[in-house]
Amino acid sequence: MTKETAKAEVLQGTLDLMVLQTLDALGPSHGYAIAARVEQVSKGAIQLNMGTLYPALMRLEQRGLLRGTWGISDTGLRGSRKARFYSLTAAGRRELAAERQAWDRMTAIMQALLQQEN
Amino acid sequence: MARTLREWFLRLCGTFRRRRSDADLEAELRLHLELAAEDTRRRGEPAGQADRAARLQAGGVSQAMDALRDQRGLPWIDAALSGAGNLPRLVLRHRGYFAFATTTLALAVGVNLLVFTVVNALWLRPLPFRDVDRLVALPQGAFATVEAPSLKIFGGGVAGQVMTDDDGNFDLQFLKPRIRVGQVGRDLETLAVTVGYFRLFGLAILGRDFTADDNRPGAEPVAIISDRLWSSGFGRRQDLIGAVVAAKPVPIRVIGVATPGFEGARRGERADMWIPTALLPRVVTVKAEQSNPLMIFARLGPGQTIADVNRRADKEYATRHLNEYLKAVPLKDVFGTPESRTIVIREGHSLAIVGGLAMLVLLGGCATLAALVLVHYERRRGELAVRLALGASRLRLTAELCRELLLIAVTGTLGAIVVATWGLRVIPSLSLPGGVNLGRLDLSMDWRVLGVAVATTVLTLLVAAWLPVSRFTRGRLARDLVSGPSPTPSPASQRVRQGLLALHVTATVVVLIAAGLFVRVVVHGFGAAPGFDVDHTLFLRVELWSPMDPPMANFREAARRGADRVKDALRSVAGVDDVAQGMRPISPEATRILTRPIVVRTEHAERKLALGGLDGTPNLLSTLGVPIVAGRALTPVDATAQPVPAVMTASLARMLWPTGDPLGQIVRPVWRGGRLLIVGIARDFVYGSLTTPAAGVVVTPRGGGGGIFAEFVVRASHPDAVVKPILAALKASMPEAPQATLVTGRDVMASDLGRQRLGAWFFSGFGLVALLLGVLGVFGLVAYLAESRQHEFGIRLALGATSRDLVGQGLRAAVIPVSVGLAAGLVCAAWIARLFTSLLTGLSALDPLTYGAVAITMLACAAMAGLGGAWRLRRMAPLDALRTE
Repeated sequence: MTKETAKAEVLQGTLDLMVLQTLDALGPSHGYAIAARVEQVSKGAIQLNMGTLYPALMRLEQRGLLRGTWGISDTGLRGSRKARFYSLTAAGRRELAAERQAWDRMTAIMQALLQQEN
Repeated sequence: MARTLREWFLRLCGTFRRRRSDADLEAELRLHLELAAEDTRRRGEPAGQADRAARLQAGGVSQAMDALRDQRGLPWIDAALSGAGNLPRLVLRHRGYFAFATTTLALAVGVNLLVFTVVNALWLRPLPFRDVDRLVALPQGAFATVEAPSLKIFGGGVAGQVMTDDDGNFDLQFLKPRIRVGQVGRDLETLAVTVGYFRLFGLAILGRDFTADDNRPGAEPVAIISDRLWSSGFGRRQDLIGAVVAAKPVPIRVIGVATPGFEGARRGERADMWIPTALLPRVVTVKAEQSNPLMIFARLGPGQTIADVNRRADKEYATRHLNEYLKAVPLKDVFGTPESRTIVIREGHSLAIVGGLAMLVLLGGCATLAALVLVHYERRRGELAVRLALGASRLRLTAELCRELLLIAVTGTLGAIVVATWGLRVIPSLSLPGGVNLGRLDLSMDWRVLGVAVATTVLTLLVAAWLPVSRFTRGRLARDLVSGPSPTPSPASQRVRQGLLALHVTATVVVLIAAGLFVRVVVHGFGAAPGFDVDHTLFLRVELWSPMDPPMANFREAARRGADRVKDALRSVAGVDDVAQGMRPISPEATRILTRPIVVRTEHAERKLALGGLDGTPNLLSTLGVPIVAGRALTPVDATAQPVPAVMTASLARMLWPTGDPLGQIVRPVWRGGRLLIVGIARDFVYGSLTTPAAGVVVTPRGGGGGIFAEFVVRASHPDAVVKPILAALKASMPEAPQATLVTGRDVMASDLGRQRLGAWFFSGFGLVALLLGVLGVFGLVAYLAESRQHEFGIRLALGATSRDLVGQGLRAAVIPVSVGLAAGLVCAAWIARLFTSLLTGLSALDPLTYGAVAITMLACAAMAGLGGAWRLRRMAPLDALRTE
């Protein structure tokens, strides 16, 4: 496995976790709200473009972790309009819990390793 | 894992049925952009800059759409399917090409599929026995007495099966061991076998096998039934095993069920039931099992080979004639039905020849298809170059080519299956010459057949499409566009096409010549005078009494009396002109006798000859319709004269006395023991077989017979009309005669030419398809060649070329490649024909009539096709011809 692909896999996994976590925090939201929230929380460090975010949303929907439905958005200057809202399914919540645990464990291991090196 | 599978499943579904449309996806993206721009405006950016900043941050809609489409379905399937919608339009536009290509593929693959299905059923489908390579059969059909000698030779044991008929013709009491079982309500095909039968094949019996007690006369009737009968007739009832079933003529206890799939040792057998041989007399109207021919199966012992046992049989039984019955062949190579004797189906190179010719038909089809595909894409070269320039990828063009070829493959395969299915419906109604009844074979299409169909189609298309595809490289098409696509095919392309046409003609010529040679042999065989009057003779063989009758005090007298009764019965039949006693000149027995040369001594010389001897009543030759050309015919007085007067055939007389007069000479063939006085010379006639006739025949007047069997020659103006009256008269006159066989002269010829007729049957089928493909191919390709040169012809016409010039051009375009292919085909056919020279009785492998007829047919097709193409061009106005590009 090349270095690039290994990196890409980590990023893809992280993106899914970010989306799931954001939806857990915000409740049902459309794609722009998710991207804006990630950008806000990361203080502008992570800016998700449409070509990354929407295929990820579709992938998570195909895996049964999200449910997408068309609804009315009242955000924005022009008042209410049609938007596609994504919400976590039960499987999505379970996946998020598992992924969060795995992430915590991994970061703890990484931290321990890095401190030991120092 | 389950989630990934779900994702891929939904993506696969999404390829064919989109859950979210492009508009739906785009609406979502547009909203994202709008919301991003509004946020930027809220932060104080001017409207125009806000939109730009939003687009920069969120990315382009089209790129995001591409990524979403890829995630929605499976992109590679999507790419392959996109453009499939254009196929109907494409097919309609190039309907001639698609129809021609599909028909060619269907015929070429269909014929191969048909042949392979028969070959598969005859040779390839495995027999359900353990260690089948060590099993052999003795196909001659011996009497029960052979069983004991066989036991001495075969180390792995022997078993016997009663053969129901020695000759497969008309029998007085036709031996059909069929049992009518009440519950099933039908006649069951039954085989009478010896006790060790199932053990020999290593077959497990559900229930129990036959024991020696079951095979005692008077034992309780028992049977083992087939798994098919158990299933279809008795619903696999467990309580059937051991139960007595109501059957006619005797109730039978079912003691076991055979292994599933086993329905007889020989291919072609479909037995429902097996009974011990001792039970046979109670089932059919025979008097004792000993009178029935027994088919022997044997297992080779450790280290034994077939050659070993055949050598040993020759050595041990050379003087007792048993060795002729003990000739073993591999069991998997024999075919037989209860009504026919065993036929060895793997003879010499037959498999290679049949397979080779089928492949030649396929090769011809491939060549036609390759040329068609090539011409088709040559004509579309300009269109493809423009599309390439407009941005279509080479991959996309290749995908389009593949789609078109796939369409041809699918429709062609379906057509091939239709051709093969139709063929398989017709085939079972045909009984191949030589007694191979194809209706007895399992001609179902198993995985092997379907695998071969798919593989053949793929192979054909790969071979056919490789050349055209490889010619359409990007560079080549781009060059075409720069220089303007050439309106006429390049010389290289023309050469390739002409080469393919020549290849097709070569393959067709070889198949046609092989077919023609076999048809000629059969026609020649039937047309060739065997020397006696086959159209007005019948041959009868009668078993005068049962071998189980009490021993007779005067054996010869009983035979004479019996023969006289037969003769009286025959003479009483209206339409019978004459009756003589004597053996028939053409028969397997006569052929066997000829395999041992006879030492013939004359006054001055001694020669070893394959000599035929006919002993019969004095009127034997006149009944056979053989005239005396010198001397006199035999008379009743000669029967007791010494030395024995004899008539000799003319060529034998010339051979023995090249210069002197044979009449009055004494000859001593060793098998006669005494001296023969030549009193007459008869016209030559065939003894033995038409394919291997005797060097000559000596006819003696002792009356023939003297044993249990008597043979008669009957002369009648209309032989077919007297068959039934003769059998009826015999039955009335000799009700106790166990067996009688009656055949006409024509039947004898047909049986003798069995292998040649089989060859003619097979090869005529190939030949017909090859000819059809050949004619279609030549016509189609030449018409295409002419059409693709319309532009060139238009210029020529505009420059003042006459119609005669164009016709000459068209003819040359067709005749030259066909002539080249024809020449190559004639050479190949002459080489291949050497492989089956032994089957071409009375005909040279270079038979000028066959070669000439095929050459003329192919040249005529080429000339007609060329003229047809040129004729169309001749009528075309120059401007029309130029406008076609």
